[in-house]
Amino acid sequence: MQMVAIVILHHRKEVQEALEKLVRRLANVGQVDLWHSLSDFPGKNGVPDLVLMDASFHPLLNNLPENWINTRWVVLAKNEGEAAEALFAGAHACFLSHQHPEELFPLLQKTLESNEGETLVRIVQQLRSKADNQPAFDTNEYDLTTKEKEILRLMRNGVHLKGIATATGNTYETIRTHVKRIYKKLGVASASEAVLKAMRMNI
Amino acid sequence: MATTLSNPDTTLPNHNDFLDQCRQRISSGAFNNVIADLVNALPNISDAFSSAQANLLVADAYLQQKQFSPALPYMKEAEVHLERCRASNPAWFGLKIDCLMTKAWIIYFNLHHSQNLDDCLNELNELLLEYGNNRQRMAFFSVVSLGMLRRYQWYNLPLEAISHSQYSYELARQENNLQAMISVLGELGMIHMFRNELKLAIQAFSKAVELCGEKEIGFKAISTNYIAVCYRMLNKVSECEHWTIQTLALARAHGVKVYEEHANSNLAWIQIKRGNLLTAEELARNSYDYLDKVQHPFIWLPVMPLLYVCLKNGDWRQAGKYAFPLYTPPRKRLPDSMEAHLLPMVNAWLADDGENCLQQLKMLIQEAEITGHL
Repeated sequence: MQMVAIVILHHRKEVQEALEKLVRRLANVGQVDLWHSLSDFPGKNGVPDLVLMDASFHPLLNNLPENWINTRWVVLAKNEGEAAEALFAGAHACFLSHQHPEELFPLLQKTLESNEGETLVRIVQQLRSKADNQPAFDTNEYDLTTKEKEILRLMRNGVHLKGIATATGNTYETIRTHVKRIYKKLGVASASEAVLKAMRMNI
Repeated sequence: MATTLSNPDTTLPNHNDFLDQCRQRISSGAFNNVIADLVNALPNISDAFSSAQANLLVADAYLQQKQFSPALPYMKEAEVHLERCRASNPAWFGLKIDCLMTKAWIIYFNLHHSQNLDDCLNELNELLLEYGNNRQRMAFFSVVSLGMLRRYQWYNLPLEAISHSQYSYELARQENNLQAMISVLGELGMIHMFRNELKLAIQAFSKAVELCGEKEIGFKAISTNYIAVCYRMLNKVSECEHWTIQTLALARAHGVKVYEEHANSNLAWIQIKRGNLLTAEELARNSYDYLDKVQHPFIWLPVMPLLYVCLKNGDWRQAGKYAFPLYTPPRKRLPDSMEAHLLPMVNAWLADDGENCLQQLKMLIQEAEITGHL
C-alpha cells in the first residue's frame, strides 16, 4: 500500500500542530513534516505528495523543481484575494479561514485522490459577482496586446498559469513575464485584481 | 502447533481444521501468533473459498486489535477470493456476510470512507434476509447502529434509533447472548444520552452494569463511564465523581485505556468545578492527547475543561488548537447553541483574529455551562 507524505508549511506553530492531527487521519498517511519557512524547502525526506500551506508562502509555487510536478498544493487563505493568487500560481485547492472547518478534511482527501482544480473556478465565480456591481472599463484604455488579452481571458476562466502555458504553447516563465506586464498595464498588483478588471472590461 | 499450521495439509480441500483452530485462537486473544501462522499458510492454501476464509481471519485478528490499515489488504484479498468461487450455497453466502461486516468495520467506521456504507448495508440486509443466522443479524444491527450514530454525528438521534436498539436487545435476549445484551444496552444508553434524555440513559447504562456482574469488566467500565458523563451533563458533581472513581478502577483493572482517559477528563471537569485549574488542565491534557491519538469522537470531554482554562488564561491561540479537532472526523457534533460560537471561534483562530476568538470562546463557555458540557 502506497504511503502518502505530507508537508505542512505554516508560520503559526499551534496551527501546524492542529493541522498535523487532521492530516494524520487521512488514509495511508506516512511521513508528515512541519516546515516553518521557505528556508525549509526542499526538506530532507524527498518529494511530498501533498503540501498544506499558508497562502503567504505561495511564491514557492513559482520556482518548483521538475521532480515536484506531481505534488498537490492546498493553500489556507484568509480571503478570496489570497486564494486567487495561490491558485493562479498553481495551487490545486484552497481553504478559506471563514469556511466550515469540517470541509477541510474532505477537501484534502479529494485533492489527494484527483488532480481537478475546482477551487480556482469557484473563486473566479466569486470575483465575477463582485465585478457585476462595478462600472465597466474600455479595453483599449490599457493598450493590451492580443496575446495579453488571451492570457487574461484564460485567467478569467479560472485557468492557472501553468495551464495557460500549456494551452498557449508557451513556457511557464514566458507566461509569468506576460502576466507581470499585464499587471503593470492595468495598474494592479495581483491576479485577482487583474481578473476583476478583465471582467469589467468584458474580456 | 506452529509447524503444523505453517504447513497446512493441502490434501484437505478446505483446510477446515486449520482454519477452525485459528478461529478458536482468535477468540482466545492470541492475535499476533494466529496472524503469523495464517500469513505463512496463505501461499499453500489452494482453494479460493479457504483462501477467502484465511484472509478474512487475518483481517479480523487485526480488526480486534484496532489495527485497521493492516487489516484492509486482507479484507480486500478475501473479497477477491470469494468472488473467484462465487456459489449459491449457504456457506458461501455466510462468508460473504462476514466479509461485508468486516468491510463495514474496517473501511467505513475506522478508515473514514463513509461514502459507500449504505450500499454495503443494503447488500448485507438482502443476504441476511435469506442466509444469515442470529449471530450475524445481531452484528448487523450493531453496524447499522454505529452507522446511524456516525451519520447523526452522535447528536439528536431519531426515535427510530431507540426502537432499533430495543429490537436488537430483544433478539439478544431470545438468543440468551449476555454480551450482546450488554452491548445493546450500552448503545441504547448512548442514544438516550445524545437525545439529551439523561435519566433514561442512566437507566439503560445501570441495567448494563447489573448484567455485567463481576464478569464483563470491560463492558462494565464502559457503562459506569457513561453514567459518570450523564451526571456530569446534569451538573451533579458528587455523583459524577462516584461513578468516575468506579470507572477508573475498572478501566485500570481491565486495561481499557480509552475509558480511563474518559474518566480523567471527568475528573478534570470536577476539578474545574472545585476551582483547581492546574490539576484540571493536567488531567484534561493527558486525556486529550490520548483520545486524539486514538481518534475518539468524544474528544469534547477533555476539550471543554481545557477551553475553560484557556479562557481564564486569555490564551486564544492554545484554545483554537484544542478546539480545531472538534471538527476533525469522526466527530461528535455539539448542540447548535454551542456550535453557534464554536464555529466563529475556530474561524477567528484560523484567521489570526485573537480578539474575536476570545470573545466567541467566552460565549461558548457560557453555552457549555448551560447545556451541561462544562
